[in-house]
Amino acid sequence: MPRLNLNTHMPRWHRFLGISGALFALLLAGTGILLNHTSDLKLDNRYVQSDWFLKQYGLHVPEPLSYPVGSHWISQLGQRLYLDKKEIASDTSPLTGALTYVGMTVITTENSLWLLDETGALIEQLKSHDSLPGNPIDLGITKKNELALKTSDGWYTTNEALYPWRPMSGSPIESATTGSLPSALQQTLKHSYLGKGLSQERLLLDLHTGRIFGPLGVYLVDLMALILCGLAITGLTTWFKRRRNSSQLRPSTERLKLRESIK
Amino acid sequence: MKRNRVKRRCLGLLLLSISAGAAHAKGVYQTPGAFLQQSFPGEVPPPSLMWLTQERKQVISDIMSRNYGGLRIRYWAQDERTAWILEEIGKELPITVGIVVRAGAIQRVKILAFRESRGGEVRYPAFTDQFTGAELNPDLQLNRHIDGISGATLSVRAVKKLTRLALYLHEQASHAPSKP
Repeated sequence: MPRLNLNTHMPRWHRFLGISGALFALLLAGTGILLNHTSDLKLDNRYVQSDWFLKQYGLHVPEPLSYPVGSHWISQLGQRLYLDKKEIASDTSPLTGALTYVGMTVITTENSLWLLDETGALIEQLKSHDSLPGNPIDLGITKKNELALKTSDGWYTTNEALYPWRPMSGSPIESATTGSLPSALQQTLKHSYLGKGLSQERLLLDLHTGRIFGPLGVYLVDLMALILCGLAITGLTTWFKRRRNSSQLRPSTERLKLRESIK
Repeated sequence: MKRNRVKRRCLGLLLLSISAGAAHAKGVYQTPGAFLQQSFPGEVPPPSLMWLTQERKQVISDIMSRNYGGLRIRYWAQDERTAWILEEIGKELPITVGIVVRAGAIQRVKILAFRESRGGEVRYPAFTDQFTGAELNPDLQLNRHIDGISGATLSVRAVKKLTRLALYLHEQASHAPSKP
């Protein structure tokens, strides 16, 4: 069996490990340096805006559903209800309508009706199981200036006391209509929905450890660590061998010179 | 001997299923409409609205130990009787309670909907009947002791708060009833 020539193979391995691990080594070194200076760079107080990274963490901002109400906007993101940029309720069922009625803001979700005053303060909330004629599907205003509510049984009308509810024939003259939020408000709601969100420090830590790619990423980083160990070992071995070879070569040269001198 | 053993096991299973049923007791026990019809034999009066002034909101906040959301409360009134449908969080989810007050004393308490997985024993008449005749002290507490239920502390607390609230609101409605 031919003897393994380490003088030939070690440098080749060293080259291979170095090339294959270069990118990972740069990533590890780069994230490591940044993490060493987290406080100085205030990375724990800066937050990631990239949708792609946020999606990896399951931080997804749902598309808002919005209704213009006078000079205001009623929006729903997920289960959170907003009056302009102010969150007014959480854990709400899907929004089905919003409009202005006799100076009040009327909002309906699939199981509730909300009345807000001109400042956005809650006046009253009615649930479909007790005080409404059914689950709200749509909202409107009739030509007699009554509030109209659509359920699966049809349209009902009422006054500002929200009682009684009378079946209505036909449709209201004005219905709640959705609209597109101004982009500035949409961004504000997005940040509000995310809250503090994902800090840059957290992202760097997960990049450094590979956790951002899940268990596979962790194993890859482990492999990278082994590659770096391999680099160190092959590098040291190669260096040691070369050093030993050069020291062995020097004495024989000296011996030759000595022989020459003796001659 | 064997028959006795079987009987004991059946009884044990029955008791276990009852207690399990009591623990997992979420459900709607009476609709608000049915509660009102039962509370006002004949015709249910139209609802009235009580607007919550700052003073009332402060008192309500003291009773409920939290800020009360809303600027008005809906109630039903006829003669000396008022009926209230109120909600309060037990542990995590709201309990809907119907309360009838007559002449300043609780006439009836009915758990209309219970949404949590534990503490549903409050719906039994053995508990709610304790409130019949209870009145409000000047310090906004009930004038009688209400026995609690082991394992349903938060639900009991919620129902007690709501009865105190209903008594206070009844008093307010009696002094200055709001128009529907």
